[in-house]
Amino acid sequence: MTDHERVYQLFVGSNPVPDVNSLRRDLDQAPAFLAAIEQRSRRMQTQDKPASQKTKPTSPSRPRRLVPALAGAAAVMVALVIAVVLLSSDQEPVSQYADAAAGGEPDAVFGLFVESYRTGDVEGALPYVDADISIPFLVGDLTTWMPGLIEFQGALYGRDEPGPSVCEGPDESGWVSCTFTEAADGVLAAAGFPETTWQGKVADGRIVAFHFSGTESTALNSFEIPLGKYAAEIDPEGMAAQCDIARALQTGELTSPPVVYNQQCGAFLAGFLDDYQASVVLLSGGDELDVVNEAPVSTTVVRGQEAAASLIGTHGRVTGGLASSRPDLLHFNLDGTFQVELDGDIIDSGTYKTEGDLISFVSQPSEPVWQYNPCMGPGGDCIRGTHNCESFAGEYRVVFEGTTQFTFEVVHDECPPRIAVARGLEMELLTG
Amino acid sequence: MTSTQRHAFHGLYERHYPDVLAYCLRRTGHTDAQDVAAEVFMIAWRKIDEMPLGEGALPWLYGVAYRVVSHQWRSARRYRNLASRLGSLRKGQEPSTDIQVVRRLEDEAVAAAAARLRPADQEVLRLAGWEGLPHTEIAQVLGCSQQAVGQRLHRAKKRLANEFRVSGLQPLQPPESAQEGGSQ
Repeated sequence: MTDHERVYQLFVGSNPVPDVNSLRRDLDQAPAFLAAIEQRSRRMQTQDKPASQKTKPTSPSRPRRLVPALAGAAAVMVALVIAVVLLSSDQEPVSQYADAAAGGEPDAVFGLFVESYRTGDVEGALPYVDADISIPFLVGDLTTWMPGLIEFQGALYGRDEPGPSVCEGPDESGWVSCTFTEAADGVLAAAGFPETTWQGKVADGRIVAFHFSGTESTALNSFEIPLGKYAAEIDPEGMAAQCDIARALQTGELTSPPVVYNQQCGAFLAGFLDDYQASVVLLSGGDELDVVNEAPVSTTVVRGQEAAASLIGTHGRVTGGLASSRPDLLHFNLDGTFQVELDGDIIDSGTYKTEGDLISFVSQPSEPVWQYNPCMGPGGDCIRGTHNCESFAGEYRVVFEGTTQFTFEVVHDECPPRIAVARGLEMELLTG
Repeated sequence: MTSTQRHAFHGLYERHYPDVLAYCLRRTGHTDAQDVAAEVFMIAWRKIDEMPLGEGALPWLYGVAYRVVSHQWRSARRYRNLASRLGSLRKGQEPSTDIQVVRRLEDEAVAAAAARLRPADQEVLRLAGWEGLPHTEIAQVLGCSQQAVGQRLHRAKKRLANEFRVSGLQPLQPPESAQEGGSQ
C-alpha cells in the first residue's frame, strides 16, 4: 500500500459518521416531518397564487382602527426619543472603512475585518470572510478558533483601546496589507516585533486568503510556546487543566502545544508572564549562539505551508549545493540525503552533509512572506526565522561546528533576517 | 402531487434520509445538519417530477445537499451559527481512553491535512471515502465526467498525503474500522 493510500485510509477512518444506520432512529419523526413538508409545500403553493385570488382582509370599523393607530404613533415617538438620547450619549464609532467596505473595496473590506477583530468583534469580522478562505500555516476553521484567539490575547496581555491601523493595497499580487500595533505590543516590541502586519486577498467583497505576518507568527511561536513550557514546568497540573490540548483538538480551537488559544489558557499563562519575561534573554546585533542538536526529527519542507528540516547527526561545514526554482517539497532524510519535489516529480537530489552544500530558494512574487521553521534546536526546541520580503531569493547556510553543535546563518541581501532560538527558559533573538 | 408520488416520496424519505443526514452531519454541525437535510427533502418534494427514482435517487439527493451545504456555508447568518456549532459533532462519540486519544491525534492530523486542501479536493475525498460512492455516482453529484472524478480523486489523495507529512506523523496503520463510506 502506498503512502497516499495509507493516509487516505486514515481519512476514511476519520469519518465522523461512520454508521449511517445509527441515524435511522431519527426516522421515528418521519410522519411529523413529512406532514410538515406537505403543509409547508401547500402554504408555498398558496402564496404562489396570483394576487387577484388572494382574499382581502376585512377592515375593522374606523373608530376601532384609530385606537391602535394612535397608540402605535405614540410608541414610535417614544422610541425615536429614546433612540436619539441613546445615540447622542453612547454612539458607536463608525468605522472609516464601513462605506467603502459595503461597496466591496478590497482595502476597506480587509481593513474593516482587521478593525473588528482588534476590537474583539468577531460577529462583525466573520461576514467578510469567505467560506473557502486559505490560511497558510494554520489549520482548522478560522471562524472556530478566532473567538478563542481574541479572548486568549485579551486574557494574557490585556486589551487596550486599539490604535489606528493603516491599510494599503491591493498590490500587484492582490494582497492588501494592514499594519497596526497589537494589544501585546509591549511584549512583541521587546522581542523585536514592534508592529504587526496582516495581509489578505479580497474577491467579491469577501476575504479569500489571509496571512498573519511572519513577524507575528514568529512572535507567537517564539514567545508564547516557550511561555507555555515555562508555565508547564512550574505548574504541570494547572497547565494540563487550563490549557487542555485534547479538548482543544476536539473542538477545533487553535493550538500550538502546549498553548491553547482560548480565554482560560490565556488567563492561566498571564500569571507567569512577568516572571517569564524577566527570564528571557534578548540578543541582538549579530550575536550568535551555539546550540546542541540532540534530538531533532525528520521532517519535510512544504512550500507555502511550513518549512522544517532535520539535520540530525550532521557535522562539518555546509556551504553549497541544493537549488530549486520552485520546489513543492524538500525532503531532508535522516541518512543525509535530500530530494526536491516539483509537481510530483523529484527534480533534484543529493546529500546535504557534504562540505560546501548550500541551501538556496527562489520565491514567487505571489508569496510575499515566507517562513522557515526548522525544528533542529536542543531537546526538540526550534530555531525559527522569518523573512518579510516580496521575494526572498537568497541563500540559507547551515554551519556546523563539531559533531553536534551548529550555528544557523542566513545570507540574504534584500531584507534583514531574524532568528529566534527558543531554549528552555531562554529566548535568544538574533537580528540582522 | 398525486397519491402515487406521495407514496414514492415517503419511500424515498425512509430509504435515504439517514444517508442525507449523515452527509450533512459530516460537513456541518448537528443542528444545521437537520436543517439542511430538511431543506434537501423539501427541494426533492418540489422537484419530485424531475428527480430520478431507484438507484439514481441518492446521488441526486447528494447533489442537492452539496449545493445546499455550499449555499448555507456562504450565508453570513448561518455561517456564524455553524461556527459556534462546529466541533460539537464528535462530542460524545469517542470514548476517552488512551487509545482513543492517540487515534484522535491521528484523526486530527489527517483532518487538518484535509482541511488544507482545496474544497473541491475535500469534497471528492469525502464522497469517495465517507459516503462510499463509486466514481459514476460522484460524477453525478459533482456534475463532471467519470474520468474527471478518477483524476480528481487521485490528485486529492496525493495532496492529502503531502499535507499529512507536515504533521510529522507517519501513517503506519490505518484504523481497523476504516471502511469506505462506513456502514451503508
